[in-house]
Amino acid sequence: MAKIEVKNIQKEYKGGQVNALKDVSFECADGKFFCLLGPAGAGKTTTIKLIGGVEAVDKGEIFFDGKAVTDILPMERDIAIAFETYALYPQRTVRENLLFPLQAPFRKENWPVEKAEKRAVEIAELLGIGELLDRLPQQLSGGQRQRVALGRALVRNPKAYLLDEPIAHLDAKLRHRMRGELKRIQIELGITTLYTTPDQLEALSLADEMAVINQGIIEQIGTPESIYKFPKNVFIAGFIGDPPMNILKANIIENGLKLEGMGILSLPEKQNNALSTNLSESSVLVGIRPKDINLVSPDHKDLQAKAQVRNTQVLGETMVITMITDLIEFHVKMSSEVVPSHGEQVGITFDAVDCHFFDPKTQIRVEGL
Amino acid sequence: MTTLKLENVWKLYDDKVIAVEDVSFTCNDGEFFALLGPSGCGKSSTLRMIAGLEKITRGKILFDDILVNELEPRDRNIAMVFETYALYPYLNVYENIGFPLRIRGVPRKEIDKKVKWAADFLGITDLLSMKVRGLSGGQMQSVGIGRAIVREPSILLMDEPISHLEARQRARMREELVVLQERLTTTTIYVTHDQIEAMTMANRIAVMNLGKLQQVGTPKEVYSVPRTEFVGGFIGEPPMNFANCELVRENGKFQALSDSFRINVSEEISACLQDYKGDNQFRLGIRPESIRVVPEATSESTTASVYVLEPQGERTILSVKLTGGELFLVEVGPDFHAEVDQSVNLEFREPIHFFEKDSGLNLVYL
Repeated sequence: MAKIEVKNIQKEYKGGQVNALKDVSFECADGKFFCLLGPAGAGKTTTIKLIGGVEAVDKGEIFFDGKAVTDILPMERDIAIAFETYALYPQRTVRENLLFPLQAPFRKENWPVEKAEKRAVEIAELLGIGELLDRLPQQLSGGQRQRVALGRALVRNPKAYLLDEPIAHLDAKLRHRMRGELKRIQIELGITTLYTTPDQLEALSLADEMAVINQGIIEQIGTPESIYKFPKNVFIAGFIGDPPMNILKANIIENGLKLEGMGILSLPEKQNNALSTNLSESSVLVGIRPKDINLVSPDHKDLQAKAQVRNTQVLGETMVITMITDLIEFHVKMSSEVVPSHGEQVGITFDAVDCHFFDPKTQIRVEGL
Repeated sequence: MTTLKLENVWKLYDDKVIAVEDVSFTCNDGEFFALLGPSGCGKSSTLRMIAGLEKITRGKILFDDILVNELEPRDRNIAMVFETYALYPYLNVYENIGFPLRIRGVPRKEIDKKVKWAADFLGITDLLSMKVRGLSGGQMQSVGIGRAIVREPSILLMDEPISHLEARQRARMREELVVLQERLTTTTIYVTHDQIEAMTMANRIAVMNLGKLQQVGTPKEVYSVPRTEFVGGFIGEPPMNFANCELVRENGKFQALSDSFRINVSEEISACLQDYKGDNQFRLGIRPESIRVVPEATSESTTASVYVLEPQGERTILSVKLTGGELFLVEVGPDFHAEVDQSVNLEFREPIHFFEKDSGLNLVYL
């Protein structure tokens, strides 16, 4: 059990050419599932490596349960890492790879052989690789290798698991199943888990708390729910949620907003005033999630816009419609009961209550609305 | 504009390994037709036989009723787009796109016209003089497509063209490819293992598994009335739930019984069962969105315990363990809360599917 704290860590590569982490701070509470979410190249793997001790920080400090570990060797940190690139021992079988952490040389608390074997088999079966225990890594598919890497991290009961995109290379069905299993294991064992992923849906479904990282900087920290409901800036708004939030340009007018390329969005006076005071200019970015937009007849009275259906993607009971106007393209998500035709003209409406507002200059959320 | 027909096509490797087993289907003129299945199902082998890159062991492939079995790929007027682009690395974009015309001895003026048309169609005119090496993945993909459409082929073949892209790019490309195909109106065969791609892009889908055709139908058909248990479990996300059960008659009505549940069976299924001669062991299939959590237990409801909750922004996926031990997924609202191991009451709603245990066939198809 451990609380992991990361304070102002910085890491550069290639003599300053690559600024992997600029100033990263966050806290992973004891026994919690913490996700670090970010696109490729954001700094997720670097963060794992630094917390694991595989690499050293340039600046900043790392604490486990309040104790500084910044200068402590990986094997003394009592963590288990699953690397994105697997890093399996190539000359050892799956079984031996899984057993290694439990019987490693120099490790103080090695397990008795029987207990270790039983554990290895248990974990292998959980991950669906029970039949592969006597194979070598080169005889496994990518997805199988990834599960061995994950299994090797899970066999022990360390202070914390550091899992770097541990199921990214599994096919969709397996990935979904593994997500549920991982979450369940973590709840049952209560081991502090730091999990990185570029998949926002994965972070939303797994995390107790999460941080969004982009280009070496932490953009927002919070529960998945709070980040989904109140994204702090345009980047996060567009990154969380599928399909992504639509971001529309608008200008403040007397009773609301004039949406660029579209119509008018009425705002109650209080909101209108709040916007005017918070922004230095009269333009604003309006974020609206595809699920919060309604399709109406083009003759409807209070439209926000008229648009044309460019494409429809039906997925069972829901569908995503790509709509275009003269100037912009946006997405609507709704039930697939009635599917509009490509090229059809429709009207769309949405409510100010469902909107998110961002300052166009700073890209930051306008609060207090 | 071409109709493609496969009649009882087989592919065997080394006379032993059956890669494609007795596959028959027709693609209509101008259709976007997906070949969907997990790795090793035979979809790529089928595509390669259509292209002429593999010999057909048995059966017939016809383009507009003309037998093409013995025709070389270059004589079939097809074009292919690959997952890895396969662009000519030392040629620039113009030369890559024009290559298929150049090797056929098309006059230079004609090549110029067609290359410019293809580039304009794809919005890559400003890349024409660029070397292929400096391009982004998306740009290379467009060049690959340009090279494929420049000859205005009868059939366009795409082999998992976007599976290596990350989620956001894939979502974008799915749209772009559909819009493209609609404008081109060329009959297109699209191979993928991703059911989302097939479901959102294709007019019709052929689902394959272990070399055999499982079902051919529109996205709506394969989703709502899966012909086999495999199709039921492969199409749709989160996936369909399955459980063993017995179908028994009680008081003139049929019920599905197991250690985990006792539910009434629809009129339609009951009608199918009247003349059914097989044994009464079946596999029940129900989608997560067809299960509701209800506040009180009723004679119709099923008890289960909460295994794990996965919130997903707009909805939450609830995993539950039924009394018989099966793990079921239930789609619930985003604000649903429950404790792990908490007991919940579930209502199963139509559509509920029943598949024969041995054959995997959906009862309504028998």
